[in-house]
Amino acid sequence: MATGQSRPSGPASIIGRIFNRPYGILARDAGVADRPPVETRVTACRMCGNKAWCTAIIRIQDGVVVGIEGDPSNPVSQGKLCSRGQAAIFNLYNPYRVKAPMKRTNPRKGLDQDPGWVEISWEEALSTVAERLRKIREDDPRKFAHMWGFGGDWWIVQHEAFLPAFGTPNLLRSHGVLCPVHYGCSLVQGTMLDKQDVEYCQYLITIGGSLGPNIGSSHSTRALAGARERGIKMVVVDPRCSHEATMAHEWIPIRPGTDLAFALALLNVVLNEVGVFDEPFLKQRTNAVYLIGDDGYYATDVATGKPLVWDPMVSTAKTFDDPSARDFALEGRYQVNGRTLTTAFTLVKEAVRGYSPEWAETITTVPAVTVRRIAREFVEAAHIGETITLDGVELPFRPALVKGERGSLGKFGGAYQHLVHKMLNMLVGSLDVPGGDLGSETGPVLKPGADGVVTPKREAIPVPFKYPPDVDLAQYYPNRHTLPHMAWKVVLDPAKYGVPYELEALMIYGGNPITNNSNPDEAIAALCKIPFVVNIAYIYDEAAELSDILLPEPALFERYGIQALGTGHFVQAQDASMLQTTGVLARMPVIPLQHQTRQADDIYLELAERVGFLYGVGGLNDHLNQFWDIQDPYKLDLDKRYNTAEILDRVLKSRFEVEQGLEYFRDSGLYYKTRSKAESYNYYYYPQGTTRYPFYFEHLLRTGDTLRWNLAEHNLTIPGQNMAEVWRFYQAVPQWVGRPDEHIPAEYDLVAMNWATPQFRMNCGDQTGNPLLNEVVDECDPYQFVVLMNRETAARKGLCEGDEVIIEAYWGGTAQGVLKLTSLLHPDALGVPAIHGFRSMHRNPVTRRGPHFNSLLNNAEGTFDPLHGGIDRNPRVRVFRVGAGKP
Amino acid sequence: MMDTPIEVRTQVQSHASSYAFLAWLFLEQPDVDFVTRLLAGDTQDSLGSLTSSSLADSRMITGLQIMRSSLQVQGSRTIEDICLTLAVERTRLLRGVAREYGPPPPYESLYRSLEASDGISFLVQVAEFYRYAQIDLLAERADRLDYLGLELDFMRLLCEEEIRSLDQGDTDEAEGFARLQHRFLQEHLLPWVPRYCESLLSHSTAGFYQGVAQLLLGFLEEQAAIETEQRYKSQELSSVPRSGTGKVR
Repeated sequence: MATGQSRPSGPASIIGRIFNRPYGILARDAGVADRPPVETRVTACRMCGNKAWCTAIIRIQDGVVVGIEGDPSNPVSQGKLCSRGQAAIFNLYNPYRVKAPMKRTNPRKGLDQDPGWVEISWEEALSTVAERLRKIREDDPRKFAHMWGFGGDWWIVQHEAFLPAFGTPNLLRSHGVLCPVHYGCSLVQGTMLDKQDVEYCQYLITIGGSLGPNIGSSHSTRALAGARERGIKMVVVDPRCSHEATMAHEWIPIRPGTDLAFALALLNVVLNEVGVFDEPFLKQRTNAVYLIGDDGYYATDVATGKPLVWDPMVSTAKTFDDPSARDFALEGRYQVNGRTLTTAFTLVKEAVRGYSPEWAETITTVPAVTVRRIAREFVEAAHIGETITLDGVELPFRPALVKGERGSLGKFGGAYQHLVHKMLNMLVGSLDVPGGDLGSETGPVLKPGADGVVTPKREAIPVPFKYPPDVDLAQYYPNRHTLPHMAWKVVLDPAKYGVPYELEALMIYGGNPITNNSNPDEAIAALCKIPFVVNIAYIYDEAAELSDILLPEPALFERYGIQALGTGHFVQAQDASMLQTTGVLARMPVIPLQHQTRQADDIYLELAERVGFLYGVGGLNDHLNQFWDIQDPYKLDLDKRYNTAEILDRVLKSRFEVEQGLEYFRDSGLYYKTRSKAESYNYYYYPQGTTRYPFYFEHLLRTGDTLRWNLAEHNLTIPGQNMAEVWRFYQAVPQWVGRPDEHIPAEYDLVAMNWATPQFRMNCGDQTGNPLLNEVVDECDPYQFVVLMNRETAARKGLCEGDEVIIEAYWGGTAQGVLKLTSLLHPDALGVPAIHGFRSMHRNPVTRRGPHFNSLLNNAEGTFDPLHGGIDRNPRVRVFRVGAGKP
Repeated sequence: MMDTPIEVRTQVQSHASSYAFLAWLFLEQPDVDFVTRLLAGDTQDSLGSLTSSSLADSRMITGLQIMRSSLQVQGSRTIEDICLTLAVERTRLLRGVAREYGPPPPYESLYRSLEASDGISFLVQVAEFYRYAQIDLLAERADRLDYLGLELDFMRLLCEEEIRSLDQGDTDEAEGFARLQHRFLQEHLLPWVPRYCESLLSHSTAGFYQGVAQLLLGFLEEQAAIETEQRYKSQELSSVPRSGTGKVR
């Protein structure tokens, strides 16, 4: 057959003239035929954006994900998968994802500006970013800051390795300003978070938080459901009758923002009215018996420096660990070497005596009689003195606990609130034992320091002082959780804050500080000011729209990830299956990349190599070895180039002892071991007499005095702060610190509050834009996109269901929404759920509906808690109908 | 009447080139070389001669003319500036940034999701088609398999495979590739691409991508009118096996 050619004609001739080149992306590959057309893979989920332990079965047909369901082989999630996980299919096939590296062509920045995105090659993107970073690193590496959020939480090349290798201290976090829930656990129990043993708990007071149902945690909800069947009594203290309140024994409505007063009153009643507490626990397992001098510090033995206690049997002061001590005085004042020393317990008792239930009632509206009743019930339910035998090991049995979370801890005074909860649990001996309040990590975390007290960890370890401070002013707030709000202030006015340089580049991964923090316009102004912003982005959200380069990231099931089984907001209420399970979640991609995305970790490795800090001592490889504690023979060769999969494989083998490494996770998402029941409680590792919890917070006092001294040394005050007010937060005994808005006009007569909702928790992976989740919400949750007001309050104000209203915070921030009335809300509360009302012009338009709660929040100095750095979540507000004018 | 092999080859080559060009328009950004060629005088001469011929009513010709004239009105702007403007427009109109910013991006399952409650099923069908034809794509240039650019490139590949088969003297295999082209056109391009083109027309502000929409519409109209089976011999078209392996027939 002849195979000659003749010339094309017609339009084809034109095409041939203007497009005279070979082109093609697709190619034939015989190996394609060998691929199984249908397969299932099991992998770790994490569409919730937090540390849930779920794994999912992914059904794949010809490389297309066609179904996602729960994995019954997972001992914790037990086949359940929440709506977020099941909706992950739209996270993958979102047609409006960032699909390729993008470059901004419009130099003007603002949420009203179209960035004019154009696609660029990965080479252009990475070389552009690397060139910028190289110049900054050569000039002053501090001028580069990195911000991360929960969207990037499962990464392997951690920022805590990347940034030190680069040489900048400016690690920022976009999350955490509204959920600073770590200080109390870090200081008291040596862990990042706490968890609640609902396998054995019989009486649980939850203040301003969620145990699982409110946020749609499948395993914690199951755990709580099981506890209900076993007869647990839950007391939910919350301005709103939440999901959990409806399944509780009792709902106590409380005025928003006043939880500390309630907790202090509870503490006072137990200490000074009920007068029943776990004396052996307090004497042998806390520093309540330590003798305190007039200066507030431990009285110490001259020879050893050890804290002193009073042995009443021989009327002598001894060191806390003196084996001859026959008893410890819990109360009293004693003369020791000419000094009057007081037991810590006495100081606490006296300090809280003024917090009567009647006093608290004027602040909280919770009746005094209720506070007294709850206090007695709590003590009675704690079964003080009882034990339980688990796996042949006898442990104290204390089935009562108090727990708080972001609703009560995320406020002015929230750090103290957290400590008061711990004190209440200590009074009945309910820490790290069956039925009680448990530290999130399990193991020998209760190891004491030289003073005999649990060594403070995590956020209880103060950031070392230095001047000038870092961009987020962590040195001025040394126990902070996160301080992105301070970073923006510094960016806008570095001289005011004593920072001698301006940020020249910011890299963002997995965070959106514009919508998720407070004062959005301040964050916008800061991002617009920073000359170069690069964003590892999934969608064109607000932070992306203010960036210069977007580096597209893979969707959930397209990427690698790792997460040790630990406690996050999603796994707080735990039953035996959760308590006894330890291990690691990990993921390898289950399908090929759908777009021109790259694993974020590989981006960081590539940038480190191009900029010149990947190799050698002090390089990124070196820091990764340290961060992950990778041991031989898996240690990274400091001078070798690895990819994400290789590093992950070594981490799994070395750190988590997964023999097959990454290969194990080809068809599994969870590697786990089961420990005994007894080993599930940290008491097991440090039983009675081997450690002490801080009941009196001398460490906090010392932190404050150290800060005071350091500031004085440099002739400084904390910019914008009333220092007398700041020092109130660094006392050894928690106290009522009032409200930051006590003296504002009475017309701001409501207190705003917020809560997370099951479908839109964290908003990772664009939950708010996910059509499946929106469908679920539209069908099942009429309380999602509304402004919630008490029915009687509305009637008093002449407002009706369905009114479009404006909410104005006392400092000026506003939000707008449609009113929904309910009797299940405190009369003084104004409820605004989740995060809605997004502003990016390039988001799914459905995300614009609903009010934006965070716009009501204020981050001015004097309004946030200077101890944990968290913003107060309960601003005073007023409400008026749109078009009616301000009252 | 069956065409001669030379005529068949020429025709299929023409189709392949056109599919390649259209795929390129959706997968890549217009570059300096392309814009220069489009604006060149001989291109205008060729277009002019066609508009005065029997092809004057060709939608493809109209599209090419609109593409060219949209660039001509850019005046004294440099070619590089023009390319940048086109790149910004391309992002808005072809790549899917936001729902109200441009038309829904050209993914088959997105446009056909109104036909079935499970739009993903169309993505599965496309993937099955590719697998049957033993098609894979370069990882570095990944996009979702039902992206219009890839579907057009798939047609390009099928045409080139038909040519390769002809060159090897295997008319049966060539006919198989012709049938696949016909099926894919009927089942996976014609049901939705015209709707996308209409949306593209309504969202385009500058002319270039209006021209692209017209060009694509016109080309698909012409493709739909071709009786592919007449290229070889008349036979019933076979269905794509659900788990096909081996050579395409």
